[in-house]
Amino acid sequence: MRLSLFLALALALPVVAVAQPRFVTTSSDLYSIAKLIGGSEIQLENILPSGQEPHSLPLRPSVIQKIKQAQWLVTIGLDHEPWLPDAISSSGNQRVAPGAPGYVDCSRGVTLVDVPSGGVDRSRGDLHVFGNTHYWLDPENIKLMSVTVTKALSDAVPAKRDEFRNRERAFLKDLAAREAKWRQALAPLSGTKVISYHASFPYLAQFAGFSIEDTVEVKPGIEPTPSHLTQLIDEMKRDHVKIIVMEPWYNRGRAEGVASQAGAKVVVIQAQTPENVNILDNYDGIVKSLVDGIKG
Amino acid sequence: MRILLCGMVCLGLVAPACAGDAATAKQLAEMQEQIRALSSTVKTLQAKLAAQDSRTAASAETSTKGAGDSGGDELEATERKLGYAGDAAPAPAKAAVTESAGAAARDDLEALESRLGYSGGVDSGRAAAAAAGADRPPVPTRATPYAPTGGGGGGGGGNARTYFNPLISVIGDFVYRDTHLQEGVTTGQDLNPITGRPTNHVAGNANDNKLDFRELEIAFQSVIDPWARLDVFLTMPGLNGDLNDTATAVPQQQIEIEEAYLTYTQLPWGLVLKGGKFRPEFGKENLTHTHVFFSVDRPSVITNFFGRDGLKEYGLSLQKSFSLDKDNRSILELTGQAMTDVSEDSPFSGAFNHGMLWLGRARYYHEFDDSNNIDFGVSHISGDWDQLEQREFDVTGLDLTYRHEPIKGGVYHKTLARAEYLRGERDVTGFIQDPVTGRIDLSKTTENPDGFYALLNHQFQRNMWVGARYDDTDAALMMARTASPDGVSPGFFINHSRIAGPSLWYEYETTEFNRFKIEYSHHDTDFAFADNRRHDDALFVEWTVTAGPHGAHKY
Repeated sequence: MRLSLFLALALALPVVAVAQPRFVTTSSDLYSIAKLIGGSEIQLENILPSGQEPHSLPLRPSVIQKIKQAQWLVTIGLDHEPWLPDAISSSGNQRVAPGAPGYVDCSRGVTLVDVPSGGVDRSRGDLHVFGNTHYWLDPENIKLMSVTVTKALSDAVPAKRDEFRNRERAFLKDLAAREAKWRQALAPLSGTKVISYHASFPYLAQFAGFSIEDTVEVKPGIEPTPSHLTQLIDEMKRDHVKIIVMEPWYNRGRAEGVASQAGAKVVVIQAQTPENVNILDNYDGIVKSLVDGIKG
Repeated sequence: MRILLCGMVCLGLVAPACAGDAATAKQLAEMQEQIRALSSTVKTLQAKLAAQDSRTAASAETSTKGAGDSGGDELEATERKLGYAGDAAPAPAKAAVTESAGAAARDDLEALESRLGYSGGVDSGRAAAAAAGADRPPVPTRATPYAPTGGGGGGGGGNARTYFNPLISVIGDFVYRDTHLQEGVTTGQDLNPITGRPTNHVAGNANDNKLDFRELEIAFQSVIDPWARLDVFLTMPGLNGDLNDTATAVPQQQIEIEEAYLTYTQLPWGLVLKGGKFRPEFGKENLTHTHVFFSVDRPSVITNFFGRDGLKEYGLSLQKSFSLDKDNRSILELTGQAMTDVSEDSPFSGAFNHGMLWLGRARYYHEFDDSNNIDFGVSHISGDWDQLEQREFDVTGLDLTYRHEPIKGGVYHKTLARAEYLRGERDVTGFIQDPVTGRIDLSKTTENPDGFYALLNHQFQRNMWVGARYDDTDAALMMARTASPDGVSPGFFINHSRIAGPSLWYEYETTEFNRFKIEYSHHDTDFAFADNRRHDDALFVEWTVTAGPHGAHKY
């Protein structure tokens, strides 16, 4: 009787399902890649909302809590997220600390540009000490990022490795096809001189073929002084620079003011993939913005 | 595989010589036949592998840009480049057979050369190590910029120790003060009978019309081991010392411990244990370091309840956070702290013995969306204000903070609104002397000082803020023993002075490390022990500079 009761209870117990691994990304671009490749095999959360300036994020309790619960933390890396070390420390989640198994640094393999030489200190503003960190704006680096994300996904769910890699192959195939079209569309822009608001676009410039002559910010992260703006306008007139590119979270009014005085126009680049949008679709939009903005 | 086959072949060749009978010989012959078949199969596979290698080598040299080649070859090639090739082994056969001994050897060599930074062209070992597929690139910490170049991946063994240095930062806080007392009102009427200091937070003194540093803070912050981190904040109060202080102009340049605590974050159930000297987690503004104030000065209710610099105690703290929803938008944080009161001029000791303090706090945080959140807390701290007689003093606080930090434009516009209300309950059983009439009242057993502040801080440009605060508070520190009628029982003197008034400020920063602030405040003080009311005006100019990677303060 007791044995029967025990067996009945044992059989009545629900089968314990293996919990899906919890991935947390630090940007909406990484979120998009992880979602495309990871699909429904993982739990996925993003920390930095699309459209928010990425270098200064308040350490809200919700941010700390997300990191605390993460098993895998997918990051842009380098010093793109200066708030991240404090956030990880506050969360106490050693598994996703830099160097730990759950810390996924998507800068792996990226050939960095604008690597500072000479002394590094705050006289140079909020300098990225390893090199410019906005590398996802070159499609070649999106490829590397996706491979790193796929590796992390495969480590997290080994049973689904083949599935992830198949999705990755499809993603790379899609990327390759679109990249060819992007290059074709951007070819006429080769050699165009532009000003960028913040030093965000060297990788995009490298891919698209335009050159960044200067920035509206006097130094990275430091708003321009009146004298710098005057100098910038003179430079734009002298060198026939007709375009200012910027991300949507910077001061468009100031950019428009400079542009109007210099006889130029402002092109806003959606440098972060909006929520629930495919990163490649967003890049279509970036290319369109550039083409329409510069040629139009 | 080859060794096994060779062994089998040898066995097959030798075995017949040892065979004794026809049946065994027949079995051996069959084995020999099988071995020959296996050997032929192996040779066929080897030939196929070699052919596949040559095709793979050719396709790997073809540009993949716009070629629309299959994602599979590109995936493997990229994985090899990033050093993930080993993981591909158990994957589909196609991926497995693309590896040849020659290609793998070239990749291994290139990987090693890149790892050691010999591939050239890229500054520092960091990117090279990353490209070579080394096990996780070096950790990019704030200390790394000071490490030698090339110290990331490979060399500089002696300099590796610098990676373990604590983060060090220095913060200088300089204040110029100018105060104006109402004419006809002397400072003698507002001195705290215990401490000799004035009851309100602004008063003229010898430190006026001088620029001096209010405080120099030196912070050392480091991870100690996988389980704990250490945070040490040393301060050196300057000549200005406390803005409330009207003592003689004596330099106070001695180093004090603002906070020094060890935090354990790896405890079970997500508990966080802190031990050492720290600011008790009562409300919001008591936690705040001087250089982080929205205004120049600390709200009056905090200084009047907890002393000129707020509470700073030795003890233990245990904290736990709970997510109340799956999106982590609602969070409950519970804190319990047990401390020994060591604060100067705190209401829990003052002139009396230092005793134990007990604190509990519940904090509820909720995000309405990515741009708006609210933070509500209830705090309670309990201790004995008179250790000899074990008379309790409890303070309960409510705090409410609303933040508007828009996603788009948040670099330029943010708004914070905050209010705190404190109410104390103090056991004053005994002979209570009325401060005005001087009569002894035996019926009074408790007294309840209270106070509040409400402030608004608004960023309207990337580097500019304006703000306003209103203070209204009892002078809760005003307690003193007096002689009682019988000369034996304790007697107490309570000053029910009340201070109220607005403050306005403007802040400009060249960067977050270099900030200027100017504040005007007007306060009215009603003195209960004298039929007198005083109006004070004060102007403060503050300059705050930060050097080094100072960690973020609590949100």
